[in-house]
Amino acid sequence: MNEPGILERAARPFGLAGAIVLVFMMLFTTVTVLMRQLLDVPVLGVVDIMELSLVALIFIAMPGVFLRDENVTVDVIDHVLPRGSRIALRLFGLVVALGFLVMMMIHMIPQAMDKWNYGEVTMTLSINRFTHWVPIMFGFAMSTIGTAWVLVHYIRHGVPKDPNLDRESFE
Amino acid sequence: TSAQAVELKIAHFVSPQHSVAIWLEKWARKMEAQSKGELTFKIFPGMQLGPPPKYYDIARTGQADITWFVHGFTPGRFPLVEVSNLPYMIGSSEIGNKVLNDPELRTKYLNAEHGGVKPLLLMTHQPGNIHTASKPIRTVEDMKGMRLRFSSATIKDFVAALGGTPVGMPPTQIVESMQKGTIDGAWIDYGGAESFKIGPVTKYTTEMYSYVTSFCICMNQASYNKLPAHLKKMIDDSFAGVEKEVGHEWDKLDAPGKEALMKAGMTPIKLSKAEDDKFRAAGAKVSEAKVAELNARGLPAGAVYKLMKALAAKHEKTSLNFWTQ
Amino acid sequence: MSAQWIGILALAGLFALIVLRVPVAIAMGLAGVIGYAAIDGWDRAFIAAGLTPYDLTDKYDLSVVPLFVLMGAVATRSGMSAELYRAANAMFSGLRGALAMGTVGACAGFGAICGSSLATAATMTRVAIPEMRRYGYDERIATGVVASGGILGVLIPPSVVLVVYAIIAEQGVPQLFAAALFPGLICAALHIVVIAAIGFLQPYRLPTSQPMPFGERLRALSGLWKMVILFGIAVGGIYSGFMTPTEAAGVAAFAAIVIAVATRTMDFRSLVEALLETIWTTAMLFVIVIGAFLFSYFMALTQLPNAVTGWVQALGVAPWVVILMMVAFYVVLGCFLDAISMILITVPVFLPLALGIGYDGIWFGILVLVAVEIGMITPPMGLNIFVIRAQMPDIALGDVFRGIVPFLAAHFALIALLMLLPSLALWLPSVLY
Ligand code: NA
Ligand code: NA
Repeated sequence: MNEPGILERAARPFGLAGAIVLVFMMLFTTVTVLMRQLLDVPVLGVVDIMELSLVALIFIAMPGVFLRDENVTVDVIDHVLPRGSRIALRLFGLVVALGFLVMMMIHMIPQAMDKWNYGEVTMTLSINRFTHWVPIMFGFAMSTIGTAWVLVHYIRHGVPKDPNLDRESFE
Repeated sequence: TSAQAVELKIAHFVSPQHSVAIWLEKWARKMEAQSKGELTFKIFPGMQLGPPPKYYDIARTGQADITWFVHGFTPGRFPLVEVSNLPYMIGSSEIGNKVLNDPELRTKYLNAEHGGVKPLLLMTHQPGNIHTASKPIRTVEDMKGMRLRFSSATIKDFVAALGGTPVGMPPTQIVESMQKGTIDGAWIDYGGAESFKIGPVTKYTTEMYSYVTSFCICMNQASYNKLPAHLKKMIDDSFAGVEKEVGHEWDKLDAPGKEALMKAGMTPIKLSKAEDDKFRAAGAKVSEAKVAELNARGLPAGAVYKLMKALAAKHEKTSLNFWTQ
Repeated sequence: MSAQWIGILALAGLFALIVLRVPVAIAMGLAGVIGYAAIDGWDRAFIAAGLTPYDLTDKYDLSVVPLFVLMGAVATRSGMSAELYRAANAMFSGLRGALAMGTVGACAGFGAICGSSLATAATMTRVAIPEMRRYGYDERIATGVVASGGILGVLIPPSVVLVVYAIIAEQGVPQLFAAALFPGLICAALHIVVIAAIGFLQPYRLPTSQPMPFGERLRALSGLWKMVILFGIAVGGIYSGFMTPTEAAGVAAFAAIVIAVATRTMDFRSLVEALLETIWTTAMLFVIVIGAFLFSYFMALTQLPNAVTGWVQALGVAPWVVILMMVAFYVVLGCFLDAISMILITVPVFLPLALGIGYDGIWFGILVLVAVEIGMITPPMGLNIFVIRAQMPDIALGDVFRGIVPFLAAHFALIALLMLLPSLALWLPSVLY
């Protein structure tokens, strides 16, 4: 195996940031359960905090998924295609993904701004609802940049080999 | 007819068997008949277009033309409407509907909060109660330390003021949480208690009839503006004077809901006059604080509160009222 | 063109995009937006798209997913799941395909503490597949049993999907949970039957293990103490009323880390790897969920299920034929949609029809649950398969799909049993409530 490529290294900070949120979610639930069951001190707004944490976890990590080019794809026709066509299809998939992400970005902005303008809050802790849009916007923006980078990287340095097909070639 | 038929989409988050869904369906068929085919409706029930808090946005953005939504699902968005959700403001759905659709209240204060949509009808359900899993609540002191699910942000403060711990959760989680003891009880109305099937986990219901939640049937403003004048008028007219009829639809859910819970083993608790007064005094304090907070944000909450109180007092005389039943 | 035809074309287009290697999440989102625009114009389609990611912001129930995945990742990396697995193997030792049967048993056990088939499949992927590969199991069977066994996670209560059904159908959650118990256990038994049948017909695909002496079986069982503690926290926590499923998952994940560190079976580095693996799995799945939401809003708009109901009623056939056609429809739809989306879209339409021809709402819920969960393991869009694939990228997707085929028989047999003997589902709730 080569050392992790530049894309993999670029993905890691997103994963680590997501991992910090995950550790927080785990410790937070543990502490709130202990406080409630052992000390009889209920914690307010558990649902609010867990919902916000889940959104943060997903969208902070999302760019890493795109940088690792790890989105689930179905490779049912790969085995019958020559490598040239497979590469073309992978690049096609990336271009489609890039277009989709840009479209989403553009049309999420007015919806996020609406929450910014009207001061909607969560049920228990009154956290401003725009807060939830922050990780979402971050995730989509960085995923867009990440996908563009992957595309450029593949065009300049070549598309990495597919583990399935590599394995078959050894058999 | 030669006129081009207009198709309108109605969307809501409850099942087609829910009483509001049935009412909307009947209304849509009536409009189709009255317009002689100029209007047609397609209905999308049961969260098909998104989770419950989204239904205001769905109408505002025009994803659907007409939706039914709950103001309290998006706290902070309708601060003045939510004044009606404060403790002991409204004694029945009939009263709630008459108050919220009062022309002065609507045009001066409430319509403006519904940006992007035209509110066709504002509503409340009949007042709700506290349902507990094991411990009965007979006095204010019994509330101490109880973990209770609240229905809207305004009731959160009421629970806290009574010494309980408010726990926010969607109604869908009540049964499991009460069964597991992660909450001791839930604030919900009898009709809702029945439709979310909390009967088997409810041992006592303290009948305070202390609060309502408000709803809105609204239409996307642009969709409304596009209609020819005679169809606009037809829709407007169809909602004129329906407050009592729609209110009865809700109010009459109370008795069968209570009956179903009692069949499942629930014992109702009526508060003594002295205790009821204590609950009401606590509610008044919460209302005062909330109005002051909204006033401080520059909203005319004081005026709205006064007007709603006066309207409620006026309509109590001619309407069903759970407080005096 | 009618909305129904747009719906059918969009399904074909989605299929084409997926086969052309467009990421599944992107393909669903794109097909959803384009289809939406074809029915309702680009303005509304873009609004629907822009609103969709925010729909993940009120999903407290779903936070159970990363926490249980983390517990599984820690249990796997510290060797705990392997110990559980050895114990399950010991129980079936001597039989052909003992590890695969043990996997089914472990899936069923895990299902009793977990509400999602995804989380079950995710955990059992880490636990069972490496072991079965090590012992020379046919890779297709190894992945097939995990993907299909993962469904036991949602059939055996508690079950997130049943809660969604309960709300849409206005049926009781406790009744539905009770009704799901026996069908879930029967489904587990049917999986064991399928494995035994494969062992009988194609013995070369399943190794036989030596029957273990009694003492050794006990020793294997005693290696289970860590898992028993975790199981006790999760099951005991949920059923005794100390915790919600999400809380139980959080505490169990924390306990798994504490045990792993205390027994020196895990260092900081592998903890970080377990966290990262959980993060990538979770983020990848939820990106698909966003696409699935968008596509399901479009499907709702097509009113395709309503049209199907109309066609069925026009045929004037016997009630059981109607139910069978619904099952067939779910299986086809399940190729493209996830379980919860399917329930949201179809139940408002199908339930009144089922009630109208004399079926029970609780029974119908269990039938729908089994039928929609089949979609978790059918190509091209099968979330259980993707979760295996995400963690085992070196297994060809085609092999996973082929491995599932025999286990589909277990699910179809369960549907047949439910139709022939409705009391399998209805007896327990009738006794309890
Ligand atoms: Na389960
Ligand atoms: Na599928």
